[in-house]
Amino acid sequence: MTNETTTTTETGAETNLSTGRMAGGGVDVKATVAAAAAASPKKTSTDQVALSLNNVGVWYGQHEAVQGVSFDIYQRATTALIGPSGCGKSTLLRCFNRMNDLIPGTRVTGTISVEGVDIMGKDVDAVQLRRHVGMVFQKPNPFPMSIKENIAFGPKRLGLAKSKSQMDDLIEESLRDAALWDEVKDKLDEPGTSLSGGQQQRLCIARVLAVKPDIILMDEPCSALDPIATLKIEDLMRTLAKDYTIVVVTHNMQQAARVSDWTAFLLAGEERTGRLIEYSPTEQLFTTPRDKRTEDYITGRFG
Amino acid sequence: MSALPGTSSSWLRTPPEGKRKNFYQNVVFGLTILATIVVLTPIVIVAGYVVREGLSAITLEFLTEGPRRDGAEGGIWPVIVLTGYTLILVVVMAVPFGVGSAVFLSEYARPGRLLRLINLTIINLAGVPSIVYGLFGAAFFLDILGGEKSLWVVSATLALQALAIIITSARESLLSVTRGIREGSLALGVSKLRTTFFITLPQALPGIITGVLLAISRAAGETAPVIVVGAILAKNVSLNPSAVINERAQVLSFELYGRITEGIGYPEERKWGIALVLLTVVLIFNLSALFLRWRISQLGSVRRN
Repeated sequence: MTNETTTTTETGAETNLSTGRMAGGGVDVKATVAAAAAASPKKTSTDQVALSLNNVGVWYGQHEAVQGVSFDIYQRATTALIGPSGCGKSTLLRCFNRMNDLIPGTRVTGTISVEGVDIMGKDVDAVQLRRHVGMVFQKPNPFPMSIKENIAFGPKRLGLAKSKSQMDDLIEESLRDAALWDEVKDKLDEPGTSLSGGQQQRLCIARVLAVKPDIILMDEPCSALDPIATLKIEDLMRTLAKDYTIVVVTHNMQQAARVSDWTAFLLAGEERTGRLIEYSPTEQLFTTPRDKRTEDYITGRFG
Repeated sequence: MSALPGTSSSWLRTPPEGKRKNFYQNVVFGLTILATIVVLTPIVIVAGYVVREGLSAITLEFLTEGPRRDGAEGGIWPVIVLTGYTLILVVVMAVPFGVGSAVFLSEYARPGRLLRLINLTIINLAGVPSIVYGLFGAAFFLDILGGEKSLWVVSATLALQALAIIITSARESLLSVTRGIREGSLALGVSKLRTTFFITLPQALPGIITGVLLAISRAAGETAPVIVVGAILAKNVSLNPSAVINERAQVLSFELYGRITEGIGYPEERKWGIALVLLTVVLIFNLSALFLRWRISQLGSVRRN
């Protein structure tokens, strides 16, 4: 079955890439990943570790949402967290910049280290951490300000630009890096909320880029967007992966296959506690999954 | 088209049971309009009546001069100015504390039984009869603190009452700011304090202003607590801002009450004149708050620093 799929993709990678995007079946995912793999050479596990998880668990009060997750996320690569709804993938993602701190009653166990430093440590300032680990949310959330000020907000509050010209340069650079500059350069003073959904999401990405993070977390960044806007964000993610470490949560397997180098599959059982089932290079996970449950999920047998 | 039920477009018409539903819908719709009219009519009549009766009393002398012959002649200028002082002082005293505690309660306080109890208490405070505030003001500021019966005591008493309304409404509008934009700011590594000041508070500001306005309008009309803490009828006094400490309060609400109960000898039209001035003062407060809201929304959508 696997071999058959791979053979067909080699002959028509491009066509399969476009069909794979729209359809929901597991076979198409394999086609997509093979095509994506052909386009960009795979990174190897000898890459440097950006984020290391060791036996990470998350509790919401008495409920254990995530249990015993251990794996390494590599620098300047895109890692996708996939799994059915309620498997704890977003919860896990929010541990990486300690966003869960803001929800009362949440407790994180185990260790998470960013570039070797345990971010759960008592002397770690979550506010400082979030400068280095940026986050893009499911629903585009531009501030109720102009486009320009949306970008300037972070640098201004954090004192990253010393003069007005420096700030203007930073704004342009961030918008260019987020592939939004050409669309908004003539209307920088218009409200951020006047942009389309996809543009708003790229504005939110630009806003994160402006504070110069090392790692960018994306929590289902395309789930509120149409296919064209999704495509643009995915292109952007591939570009950004050259300079940043990206961790993306997605419920869209094709997306994981298209954009990521590594994929982690999480699954929750009856007790609704998410566990890591498999973590492999994306191509391997989608073509030759080691675990039966991964295979069932990516072939669309559940979830 | 041929696959659709029926030969013509009859399936698109309202079925008989639907007609009955439409009828009820129209009845309910009509009732809501009626309710609106019932509410609006007295407002228009009252305002119209006050204007008609009081307009003849409004002269330049009435508005800009002090009282003569115990207020039967002359004007109410000192009352207008001191009412302004009183209300401004209420804002100065109640807004920082009110908004401050609303920020604490909605942004920082740990949710739990204690917080629920505090919130419930504050909501109930907004419902305490104003005369009770007056009594408390007299007991606390005059007896316990040993203050003189001066204007600031009246303001402080009214501010206590305004606090409850301001906290409740400010808390509501802070809570209505979406989690998304707060998280957006926090995820940039901006501290919670700065997020509160630069994101949450500006977003909640229109709602906060509405609450403050409501509280001030109520304070402007209060009579009972003002009497208890020593307001007096129109009298010529020094009107420089030191009057806040040195003089007793003269407020339009009490001026009106006093002249009505005094009865004989005080020209009828002058009473209506006072009522008209009071209405106008409240209206000016309302309009300036509306203007402020509008300005903020303008700045917010185009450029806010």
